[in-house]
Amino acid sequence: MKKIMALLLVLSVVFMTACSSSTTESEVGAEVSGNASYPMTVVDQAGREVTIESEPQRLVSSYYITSSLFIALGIDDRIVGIESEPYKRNIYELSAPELLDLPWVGSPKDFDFEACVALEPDLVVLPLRLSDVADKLEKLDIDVLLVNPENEAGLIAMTELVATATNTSERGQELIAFIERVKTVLNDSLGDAQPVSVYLTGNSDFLSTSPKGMYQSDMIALAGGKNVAAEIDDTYWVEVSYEQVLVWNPQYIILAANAEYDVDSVMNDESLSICDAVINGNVYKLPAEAEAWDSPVPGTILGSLWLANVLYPDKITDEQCYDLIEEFYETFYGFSYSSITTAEAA
Amino acid sequence: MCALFLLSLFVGKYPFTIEGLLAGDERQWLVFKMLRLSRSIVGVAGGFALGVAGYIYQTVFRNSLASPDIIGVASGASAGAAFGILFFAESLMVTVSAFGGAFLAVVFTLLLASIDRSGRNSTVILAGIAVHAFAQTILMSLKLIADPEKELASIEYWIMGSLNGINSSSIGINVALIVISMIILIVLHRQALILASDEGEAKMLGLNVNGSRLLVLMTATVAVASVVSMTGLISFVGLVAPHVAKRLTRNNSISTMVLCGIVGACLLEAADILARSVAATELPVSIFTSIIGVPFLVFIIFKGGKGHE
Amino acid sequence: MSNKALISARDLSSGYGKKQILSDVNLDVNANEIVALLGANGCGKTTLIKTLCKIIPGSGEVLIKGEDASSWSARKFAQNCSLVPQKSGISIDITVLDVVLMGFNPFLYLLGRPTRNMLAEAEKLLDLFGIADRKYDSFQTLSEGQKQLVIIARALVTDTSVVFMDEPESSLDFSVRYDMMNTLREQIVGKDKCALVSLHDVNLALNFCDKLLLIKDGKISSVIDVHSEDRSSMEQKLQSIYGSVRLMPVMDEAGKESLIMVKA
Repeated sequence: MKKIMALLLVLSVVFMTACSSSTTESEVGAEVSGNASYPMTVVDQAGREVTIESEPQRLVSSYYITSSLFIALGIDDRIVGIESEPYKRNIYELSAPELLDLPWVGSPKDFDFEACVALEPDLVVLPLRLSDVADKLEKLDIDVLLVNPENEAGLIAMTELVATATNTSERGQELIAFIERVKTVLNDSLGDAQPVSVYLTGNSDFLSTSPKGMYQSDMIALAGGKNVAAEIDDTYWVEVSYEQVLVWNPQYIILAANAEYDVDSVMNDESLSICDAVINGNVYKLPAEAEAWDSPVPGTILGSLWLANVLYPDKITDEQCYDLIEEFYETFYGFSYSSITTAEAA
Repeated sequence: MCALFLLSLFVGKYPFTIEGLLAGDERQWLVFKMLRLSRSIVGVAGGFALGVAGYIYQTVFRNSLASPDIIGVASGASAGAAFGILFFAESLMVTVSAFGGAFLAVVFTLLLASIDRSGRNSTVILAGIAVHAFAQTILMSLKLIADPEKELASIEYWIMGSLNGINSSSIGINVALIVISMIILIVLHRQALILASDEGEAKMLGLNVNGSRLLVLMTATVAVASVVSMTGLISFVGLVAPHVAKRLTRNNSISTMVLCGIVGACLLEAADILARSVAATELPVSIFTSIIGVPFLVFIIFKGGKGHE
Repeated sequence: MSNKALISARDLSSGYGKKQILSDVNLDVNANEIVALLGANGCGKTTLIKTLCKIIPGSGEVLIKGEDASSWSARKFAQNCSLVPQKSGISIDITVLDVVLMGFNPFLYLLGRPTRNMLAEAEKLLDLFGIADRKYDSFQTLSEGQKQLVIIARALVTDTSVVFMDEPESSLDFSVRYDMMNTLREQIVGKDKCALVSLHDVNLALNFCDKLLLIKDGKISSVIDVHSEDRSSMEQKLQSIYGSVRLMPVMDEAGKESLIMVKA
């Protein structure tokens, strides 16, 4: 099953890239809207062919990742419905406060079909696991794109897909280019670095961690670290024991951005007191001021950047790190990251 | 049980060497004392407590299907834990909250049952079912407002039960409570047996029926709450251990009660050894209590059936 | 042999919920006496016994050995009175011997265990009832009659002054009934104890009891003194409960006369 999924994904990525490159060539460079020609047919990340009749003006996103992507693509003003409890995500308040007042359409866990239909959307973007909802919406003549940004390639493919469908390919390419740029910086700076071992904790509990198949594992690798839990072949948070953590004896412990516990609770846990990371005080929590970078939001590359700065402060300097973060949010989200972090510090 | 306990001491992720321990390797000793030993102790003590408590519930309610959940203990603990996970992040508070939930559920059950002056056992069970349903509703509501990424996952994992989070600093009070309640229950064994007869009959055997029943049930509940507040829900041990023990002895003497504890301890310890060693990750212990418990029970039934022909 | 009243009830009334079953019952059971409660089904025999045992609440006064028992603890009450219920509620696997030893519970302290003497006493009674060979078997494996005998043994194993029995003969065989009543007399008469026994079998009552209380509609309608009353007077009283019945004298080989009731 996993293999089939992966195959589908690769195929769709290949197809997508082909698709989007053809549209990019013909672009003239409008501010937000390009001049893609409708009707257009795209293949989404579930491999479905979707024909979009005209440039979608009423968008619904049931997933914070796609909502954030809409903002980055500059089309947040077209969103008419958003996932439940948007106030939990700082990024909306910072970048697109008007989203907080939109009607909710539920979450990927319990999608509110009727609320969504009532909004009369042109295009609904749903995560892959809501494919049965997609079929139902299609019957009502509502276009649906299924996206699956669960790894980096998936994120890029999602960006291209959504950008193409919404006629914002140029902006999408800028976003992808930024991601590539940060990756290059990381690769260039960390090329010869000795990998340090990192234990990344889960949101609910510091004995849950991200195994090989999880997005977080890639994030650590990009930052030059070695995910100690990569030996576990799984795709979702797994529970491990104290003993296992002590066997791994990571040099760094990184707490998930949305962790419910703090650095102190890890530092003060008696059972971890003989772990190198704790002994050396190398326990950090991913920043959550703007977004949780350990989830595949458009700005997720910043998680690797931040982590590289933590792991190798002499190779990725504070300045390098925070300049890029600043640039990212200025460019794509229209606010100053440094001003919110300094405001919070004050 | 002893063999399983010893085995449990030497199965786990952290590699111990006999030489290392004997040579006094400080790191090995620390891990051994702090984690392995306490986990093994909780496995044995917790299993024992669940087995004995199951025996007490089945005896006092005269219902061979009675388990801690019949008077709302388990669901109360779950709701309490969920509450703790949602409103206090700290793990100690989750333990306290689970304990409180379990206890509150039982107090509530017994209060509800005491409205009916006749004090029939069936009233307690009915009240227990009501409280159980109510606690489930609270749990469901809490799950609904929980963040699916973080809190919901914690609640789900808690409900599945695991001995993973245990370390030496967190078990002291609970293990002490378990030991105390086990002693009390062993002392009260005679009373518990008399409670298994009719209300009037028990009274005419010199028992303050309501008082004794309250004391015995509360003690058993303290034991169960002490276990589940540390480990999360552990299914099946409290149900199957008494059946196995009773099938083996065919009576309800005090040795049967102790045997219930021993069977429970073996079951939980064996299940935990598997839970921590089968996969690279920690698995919920309840999976294994059922996997081991069911065939064992079937085997005992089969053997018992033949013996009576 | 003293003759003081061990059980006295004054103006005893009780019932279930709003339904009153017993009204204004007065009775005395003296030491060394076995008193039978007779009456049709549903007349209130069981209710009377349960009320006397404080299992169901009632109004009026119950004196046990001349003392007001209403304030006694369950333990003190059980040290003075034991009960054979109509049917035991024991539904778990427990050895026969352990059931009989339950009788000693009111005399044991929290940590106490039955002594060797208690054990011997229990085994003696089981032997008397002919079920000594089953003493380590589960109570559940016994026949109904055997179960009944075990419960009777449990009530007699201690020397409580008062023994209440609710239809103890109901599931016993013809001859076992007589053995059981004989054993009961041995345990009661001459030991300053007394027993109040509800019975279906009037002939058992006529032959083994000293007084018969005839109950009708929750009241004691008449009392028969087996030892002093003449046959026609007894017959008359029994007819008020059982309809057209006759009392027939029978003579055993030793020339001792006894009465049996037959339906005319």
